Amino acid sequence: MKLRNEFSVAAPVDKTWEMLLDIQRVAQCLPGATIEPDNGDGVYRGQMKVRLGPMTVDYRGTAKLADVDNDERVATLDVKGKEARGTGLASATIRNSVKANGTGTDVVIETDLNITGRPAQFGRGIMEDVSAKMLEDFAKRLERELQDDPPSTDEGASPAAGTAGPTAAASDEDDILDLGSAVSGPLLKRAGIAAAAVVVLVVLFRALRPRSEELTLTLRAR
Amino acid sequence: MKKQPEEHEPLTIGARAPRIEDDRLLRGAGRFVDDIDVPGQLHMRVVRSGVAHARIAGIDTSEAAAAPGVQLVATAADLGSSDPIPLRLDFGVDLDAYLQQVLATDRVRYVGEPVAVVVAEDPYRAEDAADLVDVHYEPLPPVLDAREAMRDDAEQLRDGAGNEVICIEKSFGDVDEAFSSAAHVVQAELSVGRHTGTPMETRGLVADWDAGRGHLTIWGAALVTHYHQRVLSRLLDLPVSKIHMRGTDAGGNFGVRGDFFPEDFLVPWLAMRTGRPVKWVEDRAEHFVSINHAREQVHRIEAAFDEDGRLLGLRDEIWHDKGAYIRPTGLVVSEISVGMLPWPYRVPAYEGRIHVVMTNKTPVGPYRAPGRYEGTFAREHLLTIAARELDMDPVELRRINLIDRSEIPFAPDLTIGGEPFVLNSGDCVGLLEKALDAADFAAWVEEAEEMRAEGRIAGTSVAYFVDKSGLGVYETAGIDIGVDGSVRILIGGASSGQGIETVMAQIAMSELGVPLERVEVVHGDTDLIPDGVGSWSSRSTVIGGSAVLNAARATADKARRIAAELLEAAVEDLVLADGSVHVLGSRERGVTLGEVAAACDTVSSQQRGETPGLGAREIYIDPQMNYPYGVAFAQVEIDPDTGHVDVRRYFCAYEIGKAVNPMLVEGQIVGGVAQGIGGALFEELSYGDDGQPRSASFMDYLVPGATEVPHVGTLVSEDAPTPSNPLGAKGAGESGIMAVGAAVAGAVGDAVGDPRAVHALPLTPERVMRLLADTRDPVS
Amino acid sequence: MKPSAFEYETPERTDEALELLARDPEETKVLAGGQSLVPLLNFRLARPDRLVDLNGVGELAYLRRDDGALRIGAMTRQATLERSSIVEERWPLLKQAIRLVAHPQIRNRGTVGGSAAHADPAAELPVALTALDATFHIRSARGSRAVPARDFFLQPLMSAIEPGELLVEIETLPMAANSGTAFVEYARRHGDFALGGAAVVLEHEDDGSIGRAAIALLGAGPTPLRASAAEAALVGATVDEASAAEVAALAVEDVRPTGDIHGSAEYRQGLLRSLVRQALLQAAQVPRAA
Repeated sequence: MKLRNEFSVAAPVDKTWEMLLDIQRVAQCLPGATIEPDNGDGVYRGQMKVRLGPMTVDYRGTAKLADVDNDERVATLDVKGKEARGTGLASATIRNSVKANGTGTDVVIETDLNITGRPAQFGRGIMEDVSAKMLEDFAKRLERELQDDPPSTDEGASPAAGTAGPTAAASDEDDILDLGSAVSGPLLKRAGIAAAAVVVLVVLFRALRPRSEELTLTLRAR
Repeated sequence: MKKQPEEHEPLTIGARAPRIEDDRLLRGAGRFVDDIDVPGQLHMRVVRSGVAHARIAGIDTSEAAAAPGVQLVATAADLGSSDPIPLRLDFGVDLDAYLQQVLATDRVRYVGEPVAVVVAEDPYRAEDAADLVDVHYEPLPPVLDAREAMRDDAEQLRDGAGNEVICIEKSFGDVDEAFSSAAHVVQAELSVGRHTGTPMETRGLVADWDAGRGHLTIWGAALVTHYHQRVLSRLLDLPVSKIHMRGTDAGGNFGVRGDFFPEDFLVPWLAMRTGRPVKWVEDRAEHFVSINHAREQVHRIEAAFDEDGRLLGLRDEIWHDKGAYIRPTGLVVSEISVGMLPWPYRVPAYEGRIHVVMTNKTPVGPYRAPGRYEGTFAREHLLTIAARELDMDPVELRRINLIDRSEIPFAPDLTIGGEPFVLNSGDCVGLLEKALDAADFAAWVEEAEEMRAEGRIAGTSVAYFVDKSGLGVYETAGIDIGVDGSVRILIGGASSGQGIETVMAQIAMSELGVPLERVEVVHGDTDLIPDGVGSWSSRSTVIGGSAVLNAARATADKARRIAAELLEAAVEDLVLADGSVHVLGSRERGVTLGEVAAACDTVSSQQRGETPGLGAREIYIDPQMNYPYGVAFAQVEIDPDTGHVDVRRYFCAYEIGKAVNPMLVEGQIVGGVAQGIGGALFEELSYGDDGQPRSASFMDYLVPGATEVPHVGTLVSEDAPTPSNPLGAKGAGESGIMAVGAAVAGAVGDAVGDPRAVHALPLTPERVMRLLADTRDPVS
Repeated sequence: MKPSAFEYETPERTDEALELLARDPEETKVLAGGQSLVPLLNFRLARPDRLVDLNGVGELAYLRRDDGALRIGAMTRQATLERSSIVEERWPLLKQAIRLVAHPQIRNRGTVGGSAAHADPAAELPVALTALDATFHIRSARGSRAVPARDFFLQPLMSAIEPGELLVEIETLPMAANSGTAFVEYARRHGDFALGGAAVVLEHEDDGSIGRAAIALLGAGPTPLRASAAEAALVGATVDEASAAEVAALAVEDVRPTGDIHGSAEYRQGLLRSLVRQALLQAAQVPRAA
């Protein structure tokens, strides 16, 4: 799955580029992600628990700068994760590039995302919705990170970009965990106290709808 | 069939007898594998690959092994032997490099491939622990398309063996000449999606190891029981006599369950390894990635015609996506695909080639009408296109090309399933005429025309098909009559809900004259039935039924011999009816079958020079396969707003030779049509670009329900009994499904005004919207 | 497909349920009809530590008319709504929507509150409730609040209900006299998740023109969407084949549905346009027939 996000910041291009190479700061912008300092090998480790509605996927993984082109100002970040419980893998190649734009800088983020295992095995396309939203959040947080140094907890200033539909309902409630994301409050709250470094997707479905007696029986049997 | 002088018609051959198995099945009193529990049993959970293609760099089972309730965690390294699962149907081609190991060793090749197993005290803990097995994958690019897999630069699934397993070719006549001299050549490229059979009951096994006697008991290997027993003997290094397979009810088969899967080894092996009974019931999520998938063929097909529309030659190149491994049924589906393609038409020259190709998807095996659902679609849709291009009526084009009864036996130079193809009975044109009449097809065509005149998008079509039935050469049967007059029939086949118990009882009753309620049909128990071939290839009635018929005849002969002695009557004057043997026309001069059985005690039998007991054991060897045939009509309407295809009318006529139970034959046809509509319009196992299955639940794999299936008209014809078995019967199980893809596609093509617009099944709403756009674009 | 372990609580009163929810809000899930949650548990996509089963909380299952408004207790079964003559008479859109929810067996277990709280973008009830401008009454151990439909559905599977909160009631105001409604959708099989759908409410003026219109779209985006521009365009207009087609085009002009194996974004957009058109024509007919 390929996703593209772009934005502009008022900061000069050199400063922006330099910050983009600070992997810990960049990876931190993945929604709900924090990572441990590296051991000097440039590989950052961590885990992340992301929730969406009733669903949860835990990933453990790594992030590292795979490729830096100082001339073209393109930095590629490799993020790899594995479900903590389950067989699924998640990986993302995030290609960040910057270009001077008068006084400011244009930033383009291109992400190639690959998710395997249970969350990926449903045909309904909500995984795509959620991934796009996650990446959008990542871009917004990165924008804020690059804009303000250090990041502010100010809410509501970030322009909502690319929202679909005539009146996409989204509330911008104040949220202390939200470091400048336009994502709605409850999502971030439920993202929990985050760790690690992977973009997580969750697929949603109402599906098989078994009889609820099944649950009761199951519980009795246990 | 002999007429007997009872007040009510006996439920013998030809009767619409209610199914004897329905009483327990409909009351929920069937005994399925999940109903089997053995005290002390453990539960198995398989750790499956979540990645389509990867090297396994390592597996860490320590966390799983330490989890609560876990008895054992095993990987390929623990199995000892690295023998792959052997072929069941072997055509003499070396396929060793493509066979599946029980557990993946250094590489996984499809999502769902077993990598490790966990056994624990309950299924919850087993699943908890399975989630903790840490497999380190190094992902490789997945190969997901058969034609791309054959390219030189394609990623290879194996070192030392190419992605194309084999190209099977079959031909006769001078095809090049046929095409170069043709007045018309018609071509098409047509594809059928990836389906599976979705039986209501998923797979399952229970194994109990008696360490003292070195004896293994297994429940759940329901469909090719004796083959399982022999494979296990080889893989576990146990004598066949020490492996006892037990029968259970089975909730559907449709061919997809009839293989030896990795779990069939793992469950007994774990029972031996842990010394405790082990149970496994496949869940539906596993089922979608582990059961055999089916179909997924692309046909590039062309036909040559003379001026009058007579077929001169047929060519087809087929790409068959077989998934990641060759399973025990081997190449049979591919072989049948290319062998059955031309029939029932008088094709003077034919060349068929099928590329059998490996991809990173679940392995593909047989599923109801394997190779024929696909081939019938390719051939019949080509004829539908030809009728349009030649400006001929689609029915007439078929009529003039059908093999005529005067040409029977029809034996081109071609083999199918390892034996020469001979159409040894039939009247294809006769059935077509009867069907047109019975369905009043002309009225369907007229109705569709009227609908089109009103601006609606409706169409009709015809599709002819030929099935094959009775692969597997022989079957065993036994009959025992107890001293109480009860009858037990032992069969080598298996019940999967198809009604085989009723059919076998009816066949036996035609000779024994015992009420059906006194009969029990036993299957799947290797201690009672030492040999059997199983239920697949529409063979149960044809071959198994013939064996039962022979056993019943032998039993009846013996009953008459003994009764003649008891009644002091002549053998030829005795008849069997209502559970007794009596003198013809003199009912009071008789003895019950129970009394006859009692008279077959050991001492008396010894004195008579007969074997003790009333009964017989028979083996029936079938001289050749038979080829039932049929014709289907469809009428559809398309919703221009949604692209939804509504199958308004469907009719299937079928020549069965002899219907043991016409109601069950009709049931097979109607059920087959429903399943065929699934493949034509709804069902497709989709994969993402990364090889992740995207329809791995019933939320996304859409099996048609009652609201998607119209009333299905049927005509069961018995005009052409096969001379190759004593019943004259041909197989019925795969009849209904055979032509549905072809018929629905043809009707959609007719509705949109151009069958050439249809390229692929299933005809999803989006595909239909596209072909509506293609055909309605007024170029204005 | 066996869920991972969880604690199971069976409160009998709302207060008791709220207390249980307050203990560990982040790790507790509420079980209503179980038609979505149970499969998620079985697939292990949901792994809550604790489940609070509301099926014993009788006081949350009611259907009441109160000062003209309809008050639906969150645990009211969908089938109860479907069979209510008051609903059929006064809020026909709810009945039109509910008849398209899956199958009768599922509607017998599935609850109105559960469907709303689950916030599936392909679910019918959230779309109907969005078209009706319903109000969602939420309680927690700390207090209560009311959220209007436009603020309730936030994302796929995400509603405004915070951890520790419980949706207790849904309220819809009386519909204007001379209103027509329609709910139209297309699912590949009867009872499947729809590929698209539209709920329409038209308030007719005496002169036959439209006084007010509500159009809510199903499957057009991550949440139920209101087609405001199309709604505005209808005011003062009359609905006929031509205007319905025009308004439908306007309604889907800016929507970007997500494509999947059942239909691409492009297909879905075209489908939505047809469904909105059909719904408008149906809603325009209802009062004349009545």
